[in-house]
Amino acid sequence: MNKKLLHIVSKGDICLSCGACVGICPLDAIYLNEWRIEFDEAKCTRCNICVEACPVGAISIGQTTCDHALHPDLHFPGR
Amino acid sequence: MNSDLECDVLVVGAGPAGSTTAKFAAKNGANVIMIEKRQEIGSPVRCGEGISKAWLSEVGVTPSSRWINVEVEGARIFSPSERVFEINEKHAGNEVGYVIERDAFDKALAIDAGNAGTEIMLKTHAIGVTKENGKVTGVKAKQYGKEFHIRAKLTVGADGFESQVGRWAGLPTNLQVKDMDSCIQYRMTNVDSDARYCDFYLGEVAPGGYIWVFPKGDHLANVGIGVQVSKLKNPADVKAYLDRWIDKHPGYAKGKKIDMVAGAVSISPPIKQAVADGIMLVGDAARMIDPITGGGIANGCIAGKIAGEVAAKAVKEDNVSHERLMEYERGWRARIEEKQYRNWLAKEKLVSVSDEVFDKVIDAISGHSVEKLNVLNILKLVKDKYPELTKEFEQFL
Repeated sequence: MNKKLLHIVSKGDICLSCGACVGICPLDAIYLNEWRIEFDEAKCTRCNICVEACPVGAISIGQTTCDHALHPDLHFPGR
Repeated sequence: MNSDLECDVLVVGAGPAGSTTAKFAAKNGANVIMIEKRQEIGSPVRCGEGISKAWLSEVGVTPSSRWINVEVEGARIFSPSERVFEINEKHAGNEVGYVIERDAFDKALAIDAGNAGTEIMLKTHAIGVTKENGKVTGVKAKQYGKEFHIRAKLTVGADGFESQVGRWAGLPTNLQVKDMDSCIQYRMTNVDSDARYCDFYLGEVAPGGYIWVFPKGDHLANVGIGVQVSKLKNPADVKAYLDRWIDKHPGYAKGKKIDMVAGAVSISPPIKQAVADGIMLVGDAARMIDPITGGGIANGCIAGKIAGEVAAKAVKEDNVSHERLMEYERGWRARIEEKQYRNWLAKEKLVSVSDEVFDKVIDAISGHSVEKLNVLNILKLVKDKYPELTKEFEQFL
């Protein structure tokens, strides 16, 4: 599969903004921007560690047609 | 609006470790800026809110009714079949003493830092560190949509579990999934918690961690779970584990949830290096969490005091080299490292123990006075009652 087609999808309505994925990412590719989890496509190697670390299964790595780094589902109001 | 700023010591993150560092750096004469990405220090809370008492005076914090909910007498450890072992507060380790309002506690510490002279900037994110000749010289920050540089003689990363400052500076803060516990907690009202105790439930109810009930008074309690997600078949099951436990306990199943928080803690051995040229890490950012309890506040504040004092001296001497900052590195290690390492070893053993063994150990020691229970005595009691178990623990003999 063409790696460039892979994309991280996080489901904003499941995410609790706990920061587990941010703390575990070895490449500084995930960060909390206010209460929004954001991914840096350029840094991500799809190592899957964030998927394993997420306590609520809010992150998956899969194919998508979305071509911007921030999936619309990622935007959620938080608290 | 924001032009570039300059200071002696820049603290990134206004949690307990950051505020304590800022307080002691400012008290000792440094010009300190502390930045916090949130708009409100301490909120939202992502914590079980149990702390011990002994260390508070060490870092100059006076207990206050503004942030203490309940003063507990002790802890109760429940084995998988719910045999109980009671520990009084002095021996319960890092997690028992007060149940606090964590947001008020963090604010109280920030107030101390502010009163000592720290400049505090809210809604200010660090977006990268700046370096000159390999030495950290401050951070690029963003506030209200504007980017600017905060130039600091010394930068302190107190940015918590999800620390980026350490990474940007090239310090070895990376964790493996097995070195992390994920936590989910409900604050529940109308529950039958006992306000005298912080309760801990061990075993398969929370693989690699525990379920806690910390009383907040008036039938209110924090009911939470921390688990090693790497031990779960499906890492997304953390909440399901907690919900299942609550369902099985009528005193909690009747409770009403009034908030839900999640967070992650490291349960790793101490990091190899917390300083480099122009930079120090404190608290969760430096993986200073107790691997047994998952508590990070005490260690973060204790290290913060040492960091603040060393920071003030180092900037006064105009020497923030790695060598100079080793005074902090040696200081926090002398105070925290041995216990963190020992508790990590014990945690590695504990997470491999079956429910059956947990039950037998708790059964063997329950009813005995905790004052006489050191590791050796525990092993003797276990050996008397369940001789076949001793081989499981002989490495500790």
